[in-house]
Amino acid sequence: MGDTTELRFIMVIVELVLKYGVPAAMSIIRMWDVEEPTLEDLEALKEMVPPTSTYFKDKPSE
Amino acid sequence: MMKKKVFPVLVIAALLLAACNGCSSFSKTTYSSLGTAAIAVNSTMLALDDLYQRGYLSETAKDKIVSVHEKYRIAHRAAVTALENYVNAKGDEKADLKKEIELQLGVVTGLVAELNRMLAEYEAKAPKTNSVTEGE
Repeated sequence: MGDTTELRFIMVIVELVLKYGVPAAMSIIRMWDVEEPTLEDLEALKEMVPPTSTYFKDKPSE
Repeated sequence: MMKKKVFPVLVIAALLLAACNGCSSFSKTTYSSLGTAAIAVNSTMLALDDLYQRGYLSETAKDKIVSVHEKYRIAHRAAVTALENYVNAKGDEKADLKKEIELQLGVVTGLVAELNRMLAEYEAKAPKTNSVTEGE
């Protein structure tokens, strides 16, 4: 069970490394390096993904 | 060409995972995965939005991206809710919630990969700019 979660975590890290490079990926991961997440942490995490309407608001420029 | 790139990246990823002290607890690993995925998705969506503004995305492509992001947002929130329940749960209840979280995490990871695939596809069709090729 735990192995599957770690595998998924590695996949996310691979995506980050491919996209930003190692130093940036490392600093992004460190942002999430907390002791056990509290319920407040989880509430904040839930709100981290903005509504889809946030994107593609403006029409393409001609 | 992609295969050549993936192996060193996997090694680096394994080292990064090892360097991430204390990522051993289930709730902490899930929390980190969902958080890093959210950052990655936000940057992917901004890059796709940029392609759209510059006229390199059709309305059909945009609608497809919007639909995938909506699914991702729902899966992300469901995973976090399940994780909240897991943190509050005791004993045997935790095992069932763990399964649910892993299921949601699988959906989240799949949708993150789909958005990244879309970005790679549309970026390949657009002329290169400095803003969307950072890290290359």
